Amino acid sequence: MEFTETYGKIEALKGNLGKVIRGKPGVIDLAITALLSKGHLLIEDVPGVGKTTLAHGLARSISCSFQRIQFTSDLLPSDVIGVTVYNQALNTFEFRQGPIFANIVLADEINRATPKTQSALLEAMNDRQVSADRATYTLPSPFMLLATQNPLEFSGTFPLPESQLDRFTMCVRIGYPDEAHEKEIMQSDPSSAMQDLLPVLTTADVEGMQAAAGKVSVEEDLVSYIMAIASATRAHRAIRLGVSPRATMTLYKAAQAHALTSGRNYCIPDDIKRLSAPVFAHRIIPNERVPEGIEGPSSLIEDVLSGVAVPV
Amino acid sequence: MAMSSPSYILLITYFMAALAIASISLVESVGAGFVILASSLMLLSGAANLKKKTLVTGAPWNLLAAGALVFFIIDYAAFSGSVLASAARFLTILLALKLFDLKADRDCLIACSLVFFLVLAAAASTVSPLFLVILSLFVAGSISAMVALTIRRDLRENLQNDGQVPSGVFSPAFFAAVLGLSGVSMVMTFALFFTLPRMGIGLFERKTLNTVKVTGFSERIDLGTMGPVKQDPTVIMRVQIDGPPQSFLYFRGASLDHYDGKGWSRTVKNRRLLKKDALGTFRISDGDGPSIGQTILLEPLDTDTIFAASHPVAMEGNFHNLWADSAGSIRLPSPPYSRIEYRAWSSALPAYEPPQEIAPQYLDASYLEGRAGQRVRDLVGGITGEESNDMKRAALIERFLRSNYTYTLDPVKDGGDGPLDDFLFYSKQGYCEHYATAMVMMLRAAGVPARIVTGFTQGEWNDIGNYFIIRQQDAHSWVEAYISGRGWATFDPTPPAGVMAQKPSLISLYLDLALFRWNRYIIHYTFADQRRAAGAIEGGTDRMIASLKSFRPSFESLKGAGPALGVVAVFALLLVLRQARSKAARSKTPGYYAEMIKALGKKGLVRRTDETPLEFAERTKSREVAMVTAAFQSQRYGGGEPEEDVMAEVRKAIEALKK
Repeated sequence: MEFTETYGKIEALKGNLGKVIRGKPGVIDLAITALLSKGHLLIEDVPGVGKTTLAHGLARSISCSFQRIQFTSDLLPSDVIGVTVYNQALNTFEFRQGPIFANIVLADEINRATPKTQSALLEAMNDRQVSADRATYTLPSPFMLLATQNPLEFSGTFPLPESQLDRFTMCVRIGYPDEAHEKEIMQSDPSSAMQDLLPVLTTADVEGMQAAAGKVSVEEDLVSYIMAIASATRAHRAIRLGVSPRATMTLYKAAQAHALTSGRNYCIPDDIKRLSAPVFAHRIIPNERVPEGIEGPSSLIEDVLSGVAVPV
Repeated sequence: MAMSSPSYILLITYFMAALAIASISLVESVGAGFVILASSLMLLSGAANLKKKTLVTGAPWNLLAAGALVFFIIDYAAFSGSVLASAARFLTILLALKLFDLKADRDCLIACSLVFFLVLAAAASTVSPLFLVILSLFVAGSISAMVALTIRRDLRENLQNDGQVPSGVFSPAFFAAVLGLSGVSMVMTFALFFTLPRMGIGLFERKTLNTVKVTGFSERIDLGTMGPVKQDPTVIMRVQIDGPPQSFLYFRGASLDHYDGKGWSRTVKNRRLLKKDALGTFRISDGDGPSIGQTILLEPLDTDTIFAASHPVAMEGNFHNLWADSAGSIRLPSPPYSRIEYRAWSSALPAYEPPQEIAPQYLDASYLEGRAGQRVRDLVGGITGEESNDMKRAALIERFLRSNYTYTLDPVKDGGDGPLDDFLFYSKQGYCEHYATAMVMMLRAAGVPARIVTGFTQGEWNDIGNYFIIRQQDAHSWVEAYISGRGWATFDPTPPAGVMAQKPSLISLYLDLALFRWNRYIIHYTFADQRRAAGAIEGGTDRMIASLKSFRPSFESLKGAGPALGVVAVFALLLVLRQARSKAARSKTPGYYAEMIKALGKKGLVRRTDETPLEFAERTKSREVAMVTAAFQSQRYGGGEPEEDVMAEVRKAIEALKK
């Protein structure tokens, strides 16, 4: 696929999503970046800011299958992956695919499920396949998991373990829209807007875009820049656990995808700097020495970035 | 152990203040009372700083500083009269005041500069080796302070984080690096010190006001004056001799001839000016037997007499001229009032002089005229008996005195008529002066010309540095008798108990060696030494070149050298390649972008190191900057050369920005 053609399709996707998610071009960019880097997205925010709408809109913009799983504490792994049932007519056992078998899967309130069910997602996210009863089933391509969680609710939740968090490319917050956009949202009819959303991409288009993202060039000094940021998180005095090599690899791929999303076939430092917080923040564990004025892992990453020289 | 930056800088500042106190305590004219006062002021300020209270600031500070200046002027005009001492006091007061006002980094910097001037003041007024310790500590301290302050300033400017130094910066590795840096700079300083050419004298050599008072070398000495100094351990000189010590050495000073019953005085006045020969050596006499070469480092003394092992033949040193009197003492035109170094050669034979006319004073026994004199003559007659050989008679008298009298530094007075009578016939105890006086008078009574000689015994032998340490307590007096046919021969009637020095401890020997080397090679490091060192290096190189010339390359040795040469060549090639690569890495930023950054910098717009070019461009809100940045990004990160028209635009934009 030609670069201009690819970028044109990205622009179309952005425009389409902009119709349902108003006033949040940054979030849309990040969602597309996650999609192009073959990643998964964790959306962490309070209810009612459009987490589900984003997932829904993304699925509808691509002519692909979409499944939504509402996670609850009694949800079982088989409810996600699928179950083997006996077919009386054929006298055989056959596998009934679960909701995970879709191009885009929305795992709503993922932290409400038990760790057992959460871990069922692990293999699906990493290897894009599921195993049940000694058989392995490949998931459709492209496959992207969008998970949401409410950061304020703690009772009856099971916080995601580090291993699972590490598998999400990014953790983003949507945040409240500004006043003008909120007025607009109030007066619009959300269901009809979603209904009017037409697919602009095919699954083949998405695969082509993902391949194009992999070809975006990253200058050697920028690789060192990523390395410097990662090392800084490992050496920071307020961070107990720095980022893993998986995280630096993810940032590298995400930076490529972000460059493509921004219409460039090469990375610039801004790609890396912009993505550092969404990619790294949920992977670090702060300790009790967090300085005053810094709240949350995101601003800790900002603090890290302020100490790393940008290669020019 | 990492430290927070404010406490670290405070610690260094106080460390430097302590050095300042140590420095001014070396400036002797400052006074101990003032040093104590300044130290307590600084301690007080330390307590205030620990409580984070600034006691003196702003206008009161300026007023106090002005007061200190007035104090300085009054101090100089009315009390000390020495600019150095008054300035040292003034600077110390300023420093103490500054310590009460340590708000910003700048204050610490000012405090450190004040310490620098105080160390300078100490350099100008001391020759103590302690100064080397202070200087080394000062170098280490000031380098640490500068590094810490620079780190803080950079953090403040670049990160705008209020100088909060990240943890782990002031780590043991940091201290090790600073100490290493200090060590390197000290080594470089020493290299400069030893290689920079100097004028005839040592750089730190200067007139010292506090000379050591020595007795026994003036025109007249009274009996009993030498007793007190026999317990004074002040070092008078250090003597290196060529070769191992052979016999017990007497370092001869002055000689006196007239005894009046109470003390000795000099009546033989004739003296001659010694001639410097072509090599700069003063010939004292024409002795040509074996001689003992000595290198003597003489402490500042208040006498013009200079010393050498008896009997001196020649001397060499940084003197304009020398006087020698007929009694054999060597004198400078005036007391040197500073440390001097000279070489002397003394005859290794007991006596060498050709027959000469003896001045009548040496036989003057007028004191022996009365009743007391008769007793002495009877005593001598009893000792010498029928012996007619002068040499043997002198030896008999010497042995008599050595074995029948008690050596003590505190003789009792016991009813005799004058000290000599008392010593010989009543108390029968005394020290070198009494013994020597007695022997001279006894020799004269027996008709042998004799004189008393004052000087020093050889003192302690420092076998670590191979030199003699001669102290005030080694002051001694002995006897020279004229033996016809042999000349002036040395006799020492004092029993060995009064001559032998105590065995010194090993630590004191090491300490004294350090002091000696410091005086010799730092304080007294002269152009002559440099010439000698250069000569030694030249000689070494000559030998090396000679050995290289005599090296005949054989086929076998070439075979061995081949691979080695190959390794060297590859190594050199790698170095060159590395250099070229790092050069390429340096020039990764296109010139036009650097030019733009420079132009913006002049307008006060500086890119922070953690700011991306795009963020910076957005901050400037300038269309031109955005344009140049876009071209820069695609070239720098995208790897594409900008098109001709883009470059033209870039040029235009930069020109616009330069305006």
